[in-house]
Amino acid sequence: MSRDSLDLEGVLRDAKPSLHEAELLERCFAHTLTAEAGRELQVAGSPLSRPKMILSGWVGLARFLDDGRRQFMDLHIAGDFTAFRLRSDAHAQAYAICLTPVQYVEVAEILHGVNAQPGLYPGLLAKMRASEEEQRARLFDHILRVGRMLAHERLAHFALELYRRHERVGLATAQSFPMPLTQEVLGDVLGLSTVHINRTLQQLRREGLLKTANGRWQIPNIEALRAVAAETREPGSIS
Amino acid sequence: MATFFFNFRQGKFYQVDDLGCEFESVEDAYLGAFSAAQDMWRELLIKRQNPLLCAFDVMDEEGRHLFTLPFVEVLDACRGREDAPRPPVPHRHVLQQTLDHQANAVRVMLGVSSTVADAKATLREAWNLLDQVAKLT
Repeated sequence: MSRDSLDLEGVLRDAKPSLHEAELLERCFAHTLTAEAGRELQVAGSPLSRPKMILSGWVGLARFLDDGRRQFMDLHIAGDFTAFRLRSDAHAQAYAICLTPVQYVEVAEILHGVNAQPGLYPGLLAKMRASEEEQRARLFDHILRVGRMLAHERLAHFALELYRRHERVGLATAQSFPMPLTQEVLGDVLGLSTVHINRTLQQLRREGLLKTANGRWQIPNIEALRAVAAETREPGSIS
Repeated sequence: MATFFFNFRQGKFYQVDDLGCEFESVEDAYLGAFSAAQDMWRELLIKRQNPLLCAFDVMDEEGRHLFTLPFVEVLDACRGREDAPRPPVPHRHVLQQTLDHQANAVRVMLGVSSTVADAKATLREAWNLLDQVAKLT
């Protein structure tokens, strides 16, 4: 696997699964699936009965207006659960669309096991609870970003969030991470027009706050970018 | 898809776009520039910078100039629109309007009653006169 992908060892990094948990994980990770860019992994309103863990690639959670405009509410990357809620009767609030080719594993068996016998899978239960909390925290960050920030603040804040998420699963190197999204998709994430995204990217590059090359973004000075993002708390983290 | 470059002008300041944006056609690139100008108006005003001094010079991949979009075009697009906001027209409370209508109706009814009474009196007088004429003959 490339450095943009996770495998079972990567998922279990720093974790000490019990025997039951290791067996369950191995069963799920035995069958890696692939979805091409553009495929919907979940439809808004449908039951979240087939949760997945992403191993590589990007999934966007989108809502649409009647005239075709769309807003991405969140992005799921390697190491994230997608089409997932701990509550078994939950329904999808948005469409989950593959923004790149995506490798994933189905984790319905893990979710079922955790809900049915939480005592047997304490580590997995904790991980799923943490994942739900992180998704909620990211949603709040996103509302703050698109609701109140100027374009360069939004982009800085977004870059920091993505860097920390990649760093946490071991996919960030030299303060850089993969960035496969087009300017159009970035615009639909950050609520800005494509050309405005283009201008803002160039502004951050000129100021030495962001380097973009070979499908990766690099943050030379994290503290400087944090100052631009106007955040006292680290984006995407749970306070 | 083709790549278009949106060089940015702000007064004497000029910034060359070395990144570019992909659009299907020159028309789409124009709409993209217009949409960005709309976005940027708000931000420029917040930063106390004058959007009227700004423009995009849009180039193709060979560096040929395709068109210029001065940000003032965003304002021009609003001029002469029929749905432009109009000054509010003061309107009376609906209850007051109902009371006024009721008062008008009462006035009309009184007028009709008075006319009917006058007609009856005139008729009575006519009958009296006819009676008197009949007695004389």
